[in-house]
Amino acid sequence: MSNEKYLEVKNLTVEYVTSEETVYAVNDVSFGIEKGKTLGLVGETGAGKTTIARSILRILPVPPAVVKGGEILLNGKNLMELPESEMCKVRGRDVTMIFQDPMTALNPTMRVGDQIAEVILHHENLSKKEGRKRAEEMLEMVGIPAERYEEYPHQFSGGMKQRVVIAIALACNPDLLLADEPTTALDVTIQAQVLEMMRDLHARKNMTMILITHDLGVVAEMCDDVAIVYGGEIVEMGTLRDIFKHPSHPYTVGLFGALPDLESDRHRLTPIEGLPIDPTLQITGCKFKPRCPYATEECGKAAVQAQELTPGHFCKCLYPRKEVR
Amino acid sequence: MAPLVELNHLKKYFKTPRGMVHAVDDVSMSIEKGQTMGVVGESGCGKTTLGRVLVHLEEATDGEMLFGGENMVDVRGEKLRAFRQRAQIIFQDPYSSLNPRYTVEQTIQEPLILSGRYKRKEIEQKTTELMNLVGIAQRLRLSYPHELDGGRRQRVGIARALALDPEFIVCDEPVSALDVSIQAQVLNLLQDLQEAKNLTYMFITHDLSVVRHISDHISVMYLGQLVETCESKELFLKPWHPYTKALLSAIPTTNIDKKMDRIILKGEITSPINPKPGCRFAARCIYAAEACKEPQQLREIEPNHFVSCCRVEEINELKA
Amino acid sequence: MTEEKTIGIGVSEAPAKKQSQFLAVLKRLSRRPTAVVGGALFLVIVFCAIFGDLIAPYNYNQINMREVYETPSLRHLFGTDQLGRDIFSRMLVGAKYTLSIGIGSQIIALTGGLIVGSCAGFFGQTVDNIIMRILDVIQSIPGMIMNIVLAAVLGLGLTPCILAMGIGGISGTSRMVRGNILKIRKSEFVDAATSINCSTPRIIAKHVLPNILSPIIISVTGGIGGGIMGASGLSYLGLGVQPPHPEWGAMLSGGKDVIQTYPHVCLMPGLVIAVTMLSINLMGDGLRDALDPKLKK
Repeated sequence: MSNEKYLEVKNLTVEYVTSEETVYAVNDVSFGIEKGKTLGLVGETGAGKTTIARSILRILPVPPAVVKGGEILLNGKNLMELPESEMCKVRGRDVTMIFQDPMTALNPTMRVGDQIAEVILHHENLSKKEGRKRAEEMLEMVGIPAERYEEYPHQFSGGMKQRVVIAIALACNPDLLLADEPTTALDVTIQAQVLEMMRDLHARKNMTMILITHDLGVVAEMCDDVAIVYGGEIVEMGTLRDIFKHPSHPYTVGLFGALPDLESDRHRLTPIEGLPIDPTLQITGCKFKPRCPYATEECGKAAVQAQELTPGHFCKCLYPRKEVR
Repeated sequence: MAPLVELNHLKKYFKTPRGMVHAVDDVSMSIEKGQTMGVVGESGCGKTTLGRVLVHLEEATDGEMLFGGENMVDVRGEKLRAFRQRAQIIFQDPYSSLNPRYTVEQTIQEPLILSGRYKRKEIEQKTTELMNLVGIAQRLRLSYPHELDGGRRQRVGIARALALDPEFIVCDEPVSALDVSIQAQVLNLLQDLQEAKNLTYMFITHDLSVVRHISDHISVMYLGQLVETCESKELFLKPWHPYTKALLSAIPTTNIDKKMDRIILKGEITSPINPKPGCRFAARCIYAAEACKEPQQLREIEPNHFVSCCRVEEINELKA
Repeated sequence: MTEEKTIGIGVSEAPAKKQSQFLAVLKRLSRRPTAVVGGALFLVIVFCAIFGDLIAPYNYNQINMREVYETPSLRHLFGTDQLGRDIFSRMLVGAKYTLSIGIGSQIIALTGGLIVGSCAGFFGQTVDNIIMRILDVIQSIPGMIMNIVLAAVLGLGLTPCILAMGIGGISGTSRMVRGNILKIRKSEFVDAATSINCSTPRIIAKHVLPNILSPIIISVTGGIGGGIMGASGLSYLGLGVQPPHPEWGAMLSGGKDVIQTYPHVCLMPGLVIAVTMLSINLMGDGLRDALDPKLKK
């Protein structure tokens, strides 16, 4: 079954170790994506989403980050075992990443177009002229007129900078794009533009994409599959329909309950009580237990194993909910 | 009943080297006592400046600001001090809105001490009450902000704003920096406080689902001007201004069965520096016409539903 | 978990015990070994400055031409100088001059800098512009020349020397204070203070200054060393503390002609200045950390 997955992450465990404390950021995370699909990684601040993405690209800050174990298979090749020189070729060509803050992702003293051309020239054997031509094409592709090639980042608005960042990420036609909160810093109408563009590019290039976000609305629009991350673990995973129509993990159910939405007229929201867990604590059993309204003694006894509720819909809970949204 | 807050042609311009920024330009609205006015718009539309003008953190350039029938635009000295006890603000960023060297207790007590209304013992007691009211455990009294999470910090900010029993609170994006699960806790708290103390809110946000949830009325701002204002439910059922339509259609929804007819706007918000007369949205509007170059008036199209668009009847096929 | 649940119902737990701010800081300070070492060293130096005259084994000004340039020995701990005077005794006696120049000049520079910098940073606009332009003019004059002019106007001796070094330092501290105030001023908690009727002086004193304490402490501890070195320059020009009063900087520069043949004449004052600086810096860093609630453990 693993043959059809383009990317597979197996039992990934990452910790941040400093002299004072150990942060258990990612705990035994496994998931896979088929080629051409989009996976949404959803979770709150500090859940470990970004650490997962950075592990795939091997750009974790070491130290303090320590990869305790796991495999990352890209097309069957284990990225964890590649020498750094090989990994350099994978980054930018096969796998690229878009970071959250478009304001700081660009070099302020370099022409926007040159920043795109730089990536292309780094990975492909092209002349400067051809590089520039390709960079201009990329600008056009993300909806920025090629005449603006010569301009500097400060002359661009937030939405346009994020388009440039996307253009840089896509410059070498990567097979896998890791997008870390690509629209969080943008306004709704601009977010709609950028998402539309990403959807369009995704369809045209048959790219595989991991979209990291805390916004369930964005996930609903962009993703085929969804993984819900809590306390460094994937607590629920399935197709978009599985998660949005049959949320089973109490945390997933809680997230939907806490979200004000545009259609129902609830007077009060149902927040998830308490606070996200402290990632420096090692907890046996379910990490959501202290906040879970359905928790029992049993939940704290041993690590909860994921169970497959319906084919492809996994849930790490002893008492999965059965409501339909 | 007379509204608690009434703004008439309120303006706030900033002088910059590149020209006049029309941050708030001719905004009129009224907020009834005990109700919530939601103000939505994108970054740079002037919603935060409007809130800051209302609590006198910025001085209005022109216009009237009636508070309980009294014009507060030019108040100074003792009157301003009295006004500030009645109108308070909750800030967006729970990380920068608390003095990092003040304990929770010091932050909450400062307004009580400054007001001069209370004796030492009463201050202690009032602090305890306020902490209970906003749901901060007493054991956190001597904690510093960096020891608290975002939700708790925001609760401290709310307690500070409530300390002097204000009638009116400007909530400037109070939940946008918080995670969804914490956001819901704080929104519920704000609603409970409103009911318990009959508070009047101006709720500033860019998040339309939040504003729909909490507001009675909503005003939509674009580049310093009001483009549409009406009851909360009505805005989502009958958005009439082309910008409101686009804004509403742009919200990603969690309902995966409903496909929205999305209106994707071309271009981005233009600069609010020395804007031309006429509709400021015209540059991005699919309905823009010659008439849009004239200055626009906020008109009452239906009872209590105001729109600032000269073509609103045409576009929505309403009877003029 | 109940604490977040409902309004009106609080959890009645006993609040953590209160403690006076001063005691708490002192306690935190005592838990930092480097700060304790720095503090102890500094106390020793201060003790020497106060009682130097009494504990000095020789008269600081006793010339003994038979014992010139003696290297350090048990008889003369730090050796003797070109006139056969005991360097150790001279240093003990000179400590009060040097310390009062270093610390005194920083007190003046800091007080002036806080007032001027706060005004510029807080009132902004025109006030800021005028103050900054004046500071520009003052700073465009080379520091040494400035000090010479001030010393010439104020006369010779210890007090004028302190004043000269202190006034010369005002423009630098002002800039530092202003820059940091501008950063803090934009924080929302300053707006919040305004909205609860906090007066401007109170905002500066309670909300702004405590938050720029770290750069101030760094500037002051660094400035003390600068003051000592600057004063030695003035002494060298004959404008500082007048001979035969033994001021450390003057002793240091006095030995530089024979640095190749009799290095101890330079080395001993140099070492003592360095140790003094170290103790002040260690103490300053410790104080800064002890005052920072973020480092509270």
